[in-house]
Amino acid sequence: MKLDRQDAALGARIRAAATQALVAAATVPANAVRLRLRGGYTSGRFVTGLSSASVTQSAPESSGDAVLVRVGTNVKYAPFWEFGHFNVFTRKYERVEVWRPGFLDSIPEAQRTFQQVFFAAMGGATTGAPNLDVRPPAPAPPVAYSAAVTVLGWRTPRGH
Amino acid sequence: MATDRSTTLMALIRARLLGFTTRDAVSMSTYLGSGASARLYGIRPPDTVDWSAGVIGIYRLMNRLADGADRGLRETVDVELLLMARPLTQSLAVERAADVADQAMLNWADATQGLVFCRRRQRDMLVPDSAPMDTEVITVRCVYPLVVWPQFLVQYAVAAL
Repeated sequence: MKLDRQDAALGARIRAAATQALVAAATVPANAVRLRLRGGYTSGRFVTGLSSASVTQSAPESSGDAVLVRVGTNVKYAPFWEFGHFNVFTRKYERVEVWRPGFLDSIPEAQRTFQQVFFAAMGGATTGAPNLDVRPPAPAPPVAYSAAVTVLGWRTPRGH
Repeated sequence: MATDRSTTLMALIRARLLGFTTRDAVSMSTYLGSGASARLYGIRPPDTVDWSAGVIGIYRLMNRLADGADRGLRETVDVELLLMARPLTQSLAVERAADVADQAMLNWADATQGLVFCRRRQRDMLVPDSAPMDTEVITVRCVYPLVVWPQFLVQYAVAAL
């Protein structure tokens, strides 16, 4: 019984750490998209900052065994630039992908951020400056890792 | 020659989309035309589109990743298919075309050379509501995640085993 209670406490601690790490990791793709939106979609002459400022991330939410943080926008025209549309001004098909490449490019940094925050939250190796710990870094727990992957909308490595 | 090159993978997907026929004898060609003149374009359509001809399709590969498992021989790649029509009254035709595409791609497998298969799908409708988007163009976006062991990679790996 004592062992069970310890497992439950450890599980709760891992979940709390993973949630904290997830929130931190989600800022990476969000910032990547904000950076890409700074110049607008076309010539940059019509940039108001609305697109960039509209990039938001949700509070952590549970979904089955996973914890989710959603990164998105409520600007209605954003998906049409991302997925393509026929433009009434240029009179042709226009498409400027920002979100997908932003997310893809930020995967390694988001994973590093997740690991650093997770280990710090669990009382292990901490963040920031170069890691002076000579021990090889321990791999992230599978549960936490899959949670991060799910949250950011990426596929799990072996999704089939 | 199914996946002996990336370009033939594109051709294979195009052939599957246009060649598949449902049980009630409906195919994508019904909506997009057939053969080389089919209105199924790679990556982007021409600047001038004849909307009176019906639905157009745009397809491409994206998110191509080799995650390191299976020594890099296994890839995952998404096929994105955009089906569009104008005006909005054509929305039913677009949805029906997407139905056919879903049937063609879901559970599709080709092991002619290499291996490619699909087991999932995603579908959304996009209805623009303001300029600069043409608000009369209806779009259905379909995404089909594929798993691929491309022949151009596998052929050497098998010999090395």
